[in-house]
Amino acid sequence: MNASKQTPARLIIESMPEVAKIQVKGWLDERIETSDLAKEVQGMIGSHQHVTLDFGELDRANSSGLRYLALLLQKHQSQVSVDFLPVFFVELINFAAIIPLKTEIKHILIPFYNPNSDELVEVSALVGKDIPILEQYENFDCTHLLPEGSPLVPDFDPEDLLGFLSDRL
Amino acid sequence: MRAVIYTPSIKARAMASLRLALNSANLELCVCDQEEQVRRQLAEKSDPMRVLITEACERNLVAYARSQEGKCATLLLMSESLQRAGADDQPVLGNDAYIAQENDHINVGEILTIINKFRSGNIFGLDHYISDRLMRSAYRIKNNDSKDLVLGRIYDSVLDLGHGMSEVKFKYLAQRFSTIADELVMNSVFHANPRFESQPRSEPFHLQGEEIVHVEWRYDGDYFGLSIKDGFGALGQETVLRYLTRVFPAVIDETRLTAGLGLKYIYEKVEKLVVNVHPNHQTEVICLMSVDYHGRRRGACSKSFHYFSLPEQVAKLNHGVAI
Repeated sequence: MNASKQTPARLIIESMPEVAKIQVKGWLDERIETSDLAKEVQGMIGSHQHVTLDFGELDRANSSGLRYLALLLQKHQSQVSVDFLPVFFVELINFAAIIPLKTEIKHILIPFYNPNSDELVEVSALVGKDIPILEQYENFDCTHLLPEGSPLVPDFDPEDLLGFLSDRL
Repeated sequence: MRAVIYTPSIKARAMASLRLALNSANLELCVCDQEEQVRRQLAEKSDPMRVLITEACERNLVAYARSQEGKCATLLLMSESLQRAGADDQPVLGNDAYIAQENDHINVGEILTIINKFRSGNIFGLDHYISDRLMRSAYRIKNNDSKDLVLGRIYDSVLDLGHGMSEVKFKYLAQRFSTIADELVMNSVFHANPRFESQPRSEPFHLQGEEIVHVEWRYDGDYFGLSIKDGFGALGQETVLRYLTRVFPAVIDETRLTAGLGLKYIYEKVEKLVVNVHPNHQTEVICLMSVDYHGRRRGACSKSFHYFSLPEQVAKLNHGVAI
């Protein structure tokens, strides 16, 4: 069998004295817990006042990887943000309390669909600005995220996808 | 084989689909309009193979059918989500299939598949649900490395289908399909196998003999089909329904070994979830997911759940390709 194009989680870290950004790429699964990456992430969170975890290039996650992330975010005292959450990740958040309320959620990558071409595109939306925190999202219209005259239509059920944000009111 | 049908509130359109399916399977139909008539038909011993087709609310009839001697399958037609029906109370347990109606329509092919499986006693295999005309791969997982390789192959094979087309769409499908496969493999390795039940998931595993997990996936142009088999036959219907109806806590429990998304996440993301069990011998979980991915449509899509169980003495089935 040929080696897959996919790889276990790897990190790209940009660090300044008080602020760090950690880009998590690849797979987030059971291996993260015993990997050197885990120690590195814990070290960064312990030594910086503000850490951003960027999941924009995360390919896949399983229950064990998510459990590790949830416990990491629950335990620390630093200010941590999560950014560029992919749709599959947001769907998982809707099932379990992976992101504690004390963790700031920045951008969510939300899907739009072009009915003419069957093309699916992701649009980055900032929580609190592009996506306000609402009691419920059933009638939330997010077409304001698109350029005027765009043929794209939302390809998600707003309440299903964004409902978890209501806990942050 | 006789089909006893008692569906007082089913719409005419769904009933027409149901009759079409049962007629084409050459079943003797007995459409009842009273409960007592149903009980009489189910108690009739002239045909040892009977199937009761009824609605989710008819719990007493389901219990009666299960108590009958001989072979009697129960198919439950759902007009509400399985999560809600399952959470109500226990009597909804014990059915062979929970079949979703979509816009008052019942899938004829689905009914035929269930009848064929029930009639033949051959419950295992993806081929009941999906052909291998476009893609078929089968592997065995023995350790963490082969798990990585197989999941990577699943991810890449979905991604490759979308080559030159909507990259985001096929990335979504690949993420979803490989996540589902990962959750099912982890269940087979750590939940079904008593040797690893309390082992931290981050520690390496090495499977031998019957512990080896068999993975197969197919694509027929419309659906991706995935089958994960283990050699334990330990997954009970009650366990499955408990997970499907589970409400997750507000905080992840540190003492638990996983976030426990497993079956509930899978059921939400697929069109069909099938569990085949030969108790103490084999469990197979099959998922079918439409390639026509659109999040908004998917949310409204009907879902079905089938649970088939063989008597313990039936010979064990095995297949797979070593890697």
